[in-house]
Formats: sequence, structure tokens, C-alpha cells
Amino acid sequence: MILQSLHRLYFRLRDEPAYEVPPPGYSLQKIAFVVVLSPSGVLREIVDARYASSGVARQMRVPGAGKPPGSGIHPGFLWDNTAYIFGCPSAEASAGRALEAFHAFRRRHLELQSAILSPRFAAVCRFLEAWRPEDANLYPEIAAAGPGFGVFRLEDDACYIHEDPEVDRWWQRQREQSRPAETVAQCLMTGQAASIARVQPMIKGVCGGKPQVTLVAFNDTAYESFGKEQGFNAPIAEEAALAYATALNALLDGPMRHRHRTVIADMTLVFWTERPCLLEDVFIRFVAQGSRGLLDDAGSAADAPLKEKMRTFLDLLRQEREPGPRAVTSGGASAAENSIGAWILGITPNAARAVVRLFLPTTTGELLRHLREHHRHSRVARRFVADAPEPEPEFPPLPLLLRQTARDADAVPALFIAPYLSAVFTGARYPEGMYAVVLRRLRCDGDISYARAAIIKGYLIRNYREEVSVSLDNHRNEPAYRLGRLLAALEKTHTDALGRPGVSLRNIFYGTASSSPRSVFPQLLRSYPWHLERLPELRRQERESLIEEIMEPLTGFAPHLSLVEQGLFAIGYYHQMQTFHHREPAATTEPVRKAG
Amino acid sequence: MAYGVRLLVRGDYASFNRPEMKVERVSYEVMTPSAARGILEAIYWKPSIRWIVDEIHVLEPIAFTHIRRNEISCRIPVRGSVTAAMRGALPTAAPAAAPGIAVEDFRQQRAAMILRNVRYGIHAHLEPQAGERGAAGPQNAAQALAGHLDGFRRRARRGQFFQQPYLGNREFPAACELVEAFPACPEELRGRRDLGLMLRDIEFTPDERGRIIESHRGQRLSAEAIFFNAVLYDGVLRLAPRAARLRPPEGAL
Repeated sequence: MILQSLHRLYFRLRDEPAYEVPPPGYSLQKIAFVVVLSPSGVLREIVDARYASSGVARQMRVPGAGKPPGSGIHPGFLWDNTAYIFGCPSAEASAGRALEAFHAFRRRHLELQSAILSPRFAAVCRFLEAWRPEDANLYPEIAAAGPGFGVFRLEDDACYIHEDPEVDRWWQRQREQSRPAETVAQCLMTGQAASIARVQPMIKGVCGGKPQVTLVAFNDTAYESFGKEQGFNAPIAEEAALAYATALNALLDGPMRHRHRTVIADMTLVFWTERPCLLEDVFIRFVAQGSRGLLDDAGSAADAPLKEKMRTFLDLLRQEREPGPRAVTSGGASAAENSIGAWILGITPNAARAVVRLFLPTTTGELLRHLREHHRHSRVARRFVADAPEPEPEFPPLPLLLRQTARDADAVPALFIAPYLSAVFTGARYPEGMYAVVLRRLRCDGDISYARAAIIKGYLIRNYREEVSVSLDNHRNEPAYRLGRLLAALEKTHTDALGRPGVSLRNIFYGTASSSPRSVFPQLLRSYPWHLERLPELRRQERESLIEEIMEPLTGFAPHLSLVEQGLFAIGYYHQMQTFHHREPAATTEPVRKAG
Repeated sequence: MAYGVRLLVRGDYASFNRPEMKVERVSYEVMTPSAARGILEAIYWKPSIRWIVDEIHVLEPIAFTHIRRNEISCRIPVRGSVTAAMRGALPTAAPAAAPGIAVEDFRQQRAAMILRNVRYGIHAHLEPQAGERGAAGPQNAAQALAGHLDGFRRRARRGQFFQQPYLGNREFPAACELVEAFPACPEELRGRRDLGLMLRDIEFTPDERGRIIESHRGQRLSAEAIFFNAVLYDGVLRLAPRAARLRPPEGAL
């Protein structure tokens, strides 16, 4: 299913010029230098082809596929690196290997002298015939060209030699001639009998691991079966393999990758739809940043249409019901187009292989519905909105939510990423383990942030079937909820009285208060009247009656609270704190809110 | 001639590995026909019959989970060490050729995306396999098939099997039950669902240079994977009858 969807994607991307997907038989390579020749094949100069401002190599369409993995000699056709073109040893190629490479390169081109009747190609042949690898010393620019590939050009030409029409024609012709089929079998992607790829193309752009990984590879004997070797274990036609790999590379590593790819901890998340639509424009950005991207006004003018689309999308998410004929497409077409196919793929590297951790074929309508559900389940009232120095996003980004499971950003357990994302995108239950982990972090550092409150509320509603309100619920009598509110009120009294924002009750007591209240609350209630006395009169009365009201249904303090009750405790605490903050936004001396 | 049986198969986990995602395993969404055939053959099989799977009913919602397992990356080489040992070479004499692997040198962790809480109904029938030892002549064919079916039903009812039936990987055992009819499919699988191309089975053809050797005849075979378009209609995967490839009849057995 995965490869088949990518295969279909290839045919879509091929027709969209923004993706720069090369036609079959060509590939995009990063060209760093251009070798300029005279018409008789004398080397004139070597021009740097990198972009002057950034030093980044220029991407060009060249004939032939990219360099295959492994250590064999594979000369390119009218493009290659300095070892192949000049025989110049470099960091990657020793002198012996460079010599071998040069001879292979020369042989490949000289063999075709009679087949390609083009003066430009002839110039390259003359050059290669006459060139001696030792001459490289005479041209310091060769060594300065460094790693990276180069192409050829005649000195008075504008186009490159590999773009010469005659060369191009020959290249297309020799591709079309049927190659002797080495192994023919039924391809598992197209269902037709075809010549099977022995080695699958590499995938670039998967974060972590090696720069190029394979999705399908059988590089050890343990992976082979039925006496098959390498790629024949999974019969995929060569054309089909090239198609799916090109499509995935275009999404991960191409010019439009910001639209399709994001990285969450160790997983690279890819998203695409059947055809261009609003969801495809905003989805990745929404996953990575939530609604944070809209909060800051910084950003170039080019961002404006994207921000507009994001606003439309967030409006759709805020709706309680399914939209009627409103569409999830760009341009707001009137037909209900909520059934555009959409695919989410999550890949993690494992040494030189790519592991599929998440694959969700869905539709735009379904995805929207589940995102809306997730938002409805995890929505809590925010404390810091527009004018605060660190405003909280209405739609917290998913990496932020996952970050709550660990102390450091790079220690997010990989165990939860795929199941949590899967739950958000498919409406399944959240992974059970993550709830306990978040509560444990809460007990450790006592920081009830917006993100943590959102996660806990989501779990309580979706997994544990509790009903939890978005903001303070005065009529909720559950002891755990009331205890949370009580802790918040006591802490506020403490801070108001002593005015020391550094050390607060919650830092010291939250962990024990939420798991075994009986051991903590009597002590807190003993010191509470002294703090109460130090408040100004009006506020004292207010606070006193609030705490009385909170404690009214409590008949005692439970010795232990279960995990669900601890969650309610946290929500109660958060709600109460949020109410305090809203009533007196300027005067609140909220202890330093830890980021993330 | 078609005589059908209905077998209900249940398991906690299942992994019907996709051939293209065989290293870091990803399972197909539903049971493959070859896995279904494997379960039937584990309960009852003789060389003179062949199980043909007609339908696979999916009776639980399709749910995936993700696991990681430590495995090894190589195989014990048969030609060198095992055959030498069978001929009497002592491992102490040539330790390098000992038929074993030091696991810590070849350990690999492989991830797998497998199915959870699966339940399938397999509807299959028997076909006689011509040219095999024990095959009945044409006059007794119907009787022989009935006898085989009885044997299968008896064993399935008693829970007997030659080897533990499993769902894709041997680590995922299957609990089997002979039933008269299958329950209805779950709500979410109603309607038409296209699963793309799926592995139907592996076909073995005689081939002198094949690397697989039939154990009861010593004939060399090569394997070929056959794929088909899998579509679920209300949770049922129907398999069109495939033109059987007749084995060339052997000489006098």
C-alpha cells in the first residue's frame, strides 16, 4: 500500500513543475563546477557553478540516475566529479581509484564517439583522449573545485553539452531500446510482468541515520528467502522502483519539501494528497507549529497567502459540526470535496534502512474530522493569550505535546510518537503509557503547563470517558478535582502573602499532594491562616470564601489518588490557576513559567 | 470438485509480511491466501491433496501496533558447515567451519508493524493433486476427497495439528475452530475497500537451477510470487479460482 501510493504520487508530481521531478532516465544532481572546453577539446577554464550568495551547489537535470550505493566504478554520462573527469585524487578517491575512475569515464565516452554525431560531444571526446591525469597539477582550479559534480560546456555556448539536442536524442533512443530482461517476474506494484530491479534506489532526506537510506533492501542473508537474492525478494519493476523513490525523494528532499515534510523527534513525517488542496498547503505547518505560526506578525510578505489559508483551516477546525458544502480545497469550490485521498507516512532510520512507523491512508474529510475531535478533547482555557510575552497557541503543536513526556527535548521516548500521532489522525485511543509518563513528569517538576493540561484532558475524555470542562467548573464535586483547586488556591494565598515567586508551594508539594493528599494537605491548611492574615482585607475575604467553597464537599483527604484522579487533580489545579490569572492579569506574580 | 470447510482463526497478533517491507516488517492489512493455506496445512495435509482458499472473512477491525525485536542478520551456511558436519567432520577439528553462529556478532534489531487482535474466517476446499504418491484413481477421487475432508474435520474438532498453526510469523500462534458459518463483519469494514496488490501465493516450478529442493522427491524448484488485486467487500476477500498449474506427471513412482 505504501509503495503503491507513492507510485501514484509520482504521476501527479511529474506534471507539477514546482517539484522539479526529472523525467525517467534523468536525475537531479547538485552541480558545483562547469568544465569549459574549446571546440577542439582543449580545457579552457573551470567555472564555479555554485550560487554566489550561499555557496550551495546548483541543481541540474542530467542524464542518468544518481550514483548507486556501493563502491563500484560508475562513470556518469557527461557529468561526474573531479576523480572521474580529471583523474584527480581527492578526499573521497585515492590516486589509484581516481585513475581507474578516469579511465572508465574516458572509455564510456570514447565508445560512443561514432554513435553520437555532435560537435559538442566530439569536443568532450577530444578532451578526454588528450587529457593526462598528471596534468591536473597544472590547473589548481581542479583541486579547488572540491567535492561535488561538474558538467561540460563549450566556451562560446550558453547551454551545457549534456543538453545538446543530438546528445539528448541519442540518450532517449538508447533508453527506449528494450534491454535484455535479466529477470522478469510479476511486479508487486503494477501487477504486470516486468524486469525486476536488483537494487532499489536510495531515499534522501530522512532525518537522523545516514544521509541516504533504503526503504526496500535485503543486504544480509537472513533477509533472503525462497532462494532469492537482493531485490528479487520483493519483485518491483525497475521503472516502478524509480517512480516511487523519485516521488518520495521529491517530498523529502525536493524544493517543495517544506510543504510535505516535518520532523518530530526521530520520526520524519510526510504528508501528501491526491491533488493540490487547502489541507496540503497547511497540514505540515499545522502539525509542526499548531496555531503558533499565526501568532507572530513577523514573516515575509510571501507568507501572507499561507497565513490566510491557515486562518481558514483553523476556522474549519473550530467548527463543532461537519461543514456542509464547504470544501477543504483551495479556492473554496462549492462541491463538497472532503473525500480527496490523503496519506501520512512516518519514517525513522535504523542504520542504513528506513523503518515505516506510521502509515495512514485517509481522506481530507476524515483527517479534518479527527483533528477537530482531538482539539475538542484537549482544549483547555488558556492562561496567556495575545498580549502576554509568551502567548499560548490555541492549537498546540503536536511536537509540543509529545515534548511533555520528557525532561529534555532530545529524550522524547520514540515509543509514543507514532501511536500518539496515529491517535490524533485517526481518532483512536491515545497510547496508554503516555498518560502515566506525563503524570510522572508532572509529579517530578510540578509544572502544570497548558500543553500538559491539554494532554491530560484529552486522555481523560477519550481514554477514560470522563467529562471535563474547558475552564473552571464550580459545581464539580469530585474530591480529586476539588483538591487540585484547593492546592492552587492555597498556593496563590502563599504567593500573595509572601510575594516570593521563586519558591512556590507547587514546586515543593505538588507531587505528593496529587498522589497522596492525606499526607500533605493538613500541613498546608495549618499554615494557610497565617498567609491569609497578610492579604489586604477585601482579597482576604474573597479568598477565604473561595477556599471554604472549594472545601465544602470534601469529607476528608484520600490517602492515595489513582491515575485518573491525579489527572483530575491536575486539571482542577490548572482551571483554578487559570481563573486567578484571568481575574487579575496584571498583578499576578506567576512563578517563572517554564517553556515547553 | 469442491468440498468446502469453514475455519475460524483467532490470535492476539499477526504479521503477514509484505515482501517489499520484509526487513523492517510491515504487515498486510488482512490475512494473505498463502497464510490461510499454511494454517489449513498445519492441521491436515497429504501430498495427494491441495488446499485452495476461496474466501477470507475479516471479523475484527484492522488495527496495527509497532514492535521491535532482536534478531540476527545471517544464516548458518548449509553448504560449508552443516554438510561437512553431516559427513562427520568434527567441530573441534575445524572450528571456523562449525555449524553455528556467535549470535552477539550478528545481532540486529528489526522493527515490525504488525496486526493486533485478529480474527479471520477461512473458507477453503480441497483439490486432488495428480501424480502424487497416494493419489486416488479417477473412480475413487470423490471418495478419497471425502475421506480427506473427514480427516481434516476430525482433527480440527479435536484441536490436532502437525505443527502449531500461526499467523504469518511463528511467534504469533493461531487458535482455530471449525464452524458452520461465520459471524458478520464489524461495522467499520462495511462497503468496498481496496487493498491494492497483495501476495496470493508462492508458486513453485521445476527448474534445474532452482535453489529450492522438494523434500519428498528431491526435485529442484524455483519460487515465484504471484500477486492479485485484493478488494474487501463487506469484510470478505474473495479469491478468483486460479488456473492450476499442473505439475508434469512423474514417471512410475
